[in-house]
Amino acid sequence: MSRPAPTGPKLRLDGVRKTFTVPRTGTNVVAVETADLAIEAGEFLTIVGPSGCGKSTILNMLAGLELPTEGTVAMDGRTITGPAAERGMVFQDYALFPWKTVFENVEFGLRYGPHGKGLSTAERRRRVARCVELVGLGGSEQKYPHELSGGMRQRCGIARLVANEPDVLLMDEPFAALDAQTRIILQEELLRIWGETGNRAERRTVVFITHAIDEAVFLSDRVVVMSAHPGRIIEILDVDLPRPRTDATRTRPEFQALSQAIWNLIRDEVYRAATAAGSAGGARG
Amino acid sequence: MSTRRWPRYFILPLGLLVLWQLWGMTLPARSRAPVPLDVLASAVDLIASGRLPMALLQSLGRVGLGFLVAGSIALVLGLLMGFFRPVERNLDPIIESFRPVAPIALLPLAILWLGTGTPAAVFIVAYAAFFPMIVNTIAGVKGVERRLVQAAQTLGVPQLTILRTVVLPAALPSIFIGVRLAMGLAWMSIIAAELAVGSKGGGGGSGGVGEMMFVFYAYYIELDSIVVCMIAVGLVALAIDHGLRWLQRWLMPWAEQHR
Repeated sequence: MSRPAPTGPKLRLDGVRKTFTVPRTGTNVVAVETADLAIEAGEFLTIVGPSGCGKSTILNMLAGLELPTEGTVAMDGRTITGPAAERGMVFQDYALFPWKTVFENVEFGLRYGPHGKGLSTAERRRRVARCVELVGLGGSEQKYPHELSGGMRQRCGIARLVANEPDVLLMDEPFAALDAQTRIILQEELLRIWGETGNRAERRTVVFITHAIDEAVFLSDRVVVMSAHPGRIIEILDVDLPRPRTDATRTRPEFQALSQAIWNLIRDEVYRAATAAGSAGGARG
Repeated sequence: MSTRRWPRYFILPLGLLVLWQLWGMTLPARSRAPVPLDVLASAVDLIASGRLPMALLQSLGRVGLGFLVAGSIALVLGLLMGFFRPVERNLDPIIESFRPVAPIALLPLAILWLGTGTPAAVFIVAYAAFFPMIVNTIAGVKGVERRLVQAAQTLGVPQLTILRTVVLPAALPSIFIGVRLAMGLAWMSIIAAELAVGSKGGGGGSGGVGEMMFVFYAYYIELDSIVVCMIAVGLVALAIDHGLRWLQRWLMPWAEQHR
């Protein structure tokens, strides 16, 4: 798919503030405090931070599922006013349609959304089959989500996203519910699907939310570190590790140093949150 | 339930029937108490003559028609009310103020406007069936996991398509609870409506099981036959509910796994 020549950032947050009114008590909670961020086309950007730092809120605003209280969120210079097919999303809890098979889930966006318009049924099926293969779910097309393991469900979620060919891929802690081994495998596969080995200009823009520091460093070109109460961006770090990233990447001194640096930035807050566990309310992630 | 346990389930009801029969036989011959053997004889007679099946079919047809009318309106309104807040705000007061009005209370109006035949009966059935279906549809729509709607939105699917392709199937288990409740109420009100209309029809009236019961009561005082009708009404309701549950499992094989 062709994309317009890159002029300016793909996504931009300009003085974005987001507050929620708590039901019943009526108090205002600041989820995100004046965030400015420019995300380049083809970049893999990860936002990391403790729970309650507003990272999911930022992702929801990029998706258009929530609107900022102040400031603007824009894609290609146009203000985002609602969800659209060009900004697809993968969810932590998969959000697969339980009454549809793997194939039908992957087909959903093309069948009912704008990106499938102009595709014949046969073309659509071919593309869906290709995406199912791409995520390694070949042979499970006719299974229902409840018949799949967590890892396979998220593969299906990724296939559903990729089949719709969005410009921007938004991923909300997609591997948080998976076991450690599955998570490592899916991290590598995600980079492969993203096109790590291919031409840089072919890659889509990815915004990835996680609370796992090693995951953030392993995947990203840049890591945005956020802190909670109120949620704000405290640091943006470049990850200068060579691609494609492999198992060897994780043992490199730069990888370790960067992970340690990020940990140092949020450690105090994580400890504070952990000792006050249960008492803290507020917005999720 | 294994087949070997069946006999045990029948010990108590059969024992009660035997006691009832024995007690009945001690009464004088022209007594009006229905006893099991007389009821059975009456049932054989009513079924063999085709009167009971015909009456049941007529009542069933009315229930089906009223159900279809109520179901289509409740489904569309319920989906819209559950999904779009402004629609609910405007319609909810109207629906909630009609809900406590018993279907039978509308019978005078129904007879005045629609006569004593099928349209009035269908109207009463539809009215009775409407409320459980719309209330459960709204509740079902509101209970749909937000993430599923958001997943469709971020695939670019338009709102009305989401309503049909995501909200409707996700709310289906709850909608089905409404359908089952409504079927019970519909069946209850058809008998009541036919009973009441039958009295006005003066024997040549509206037909259906309800009217049949009224005729047995008012003209022949045949209690045995009335008991046959009662049992038939109960058995048909049981059969319908089993049918609906089977339909539910067939329509929603995924829902079974989540419970």
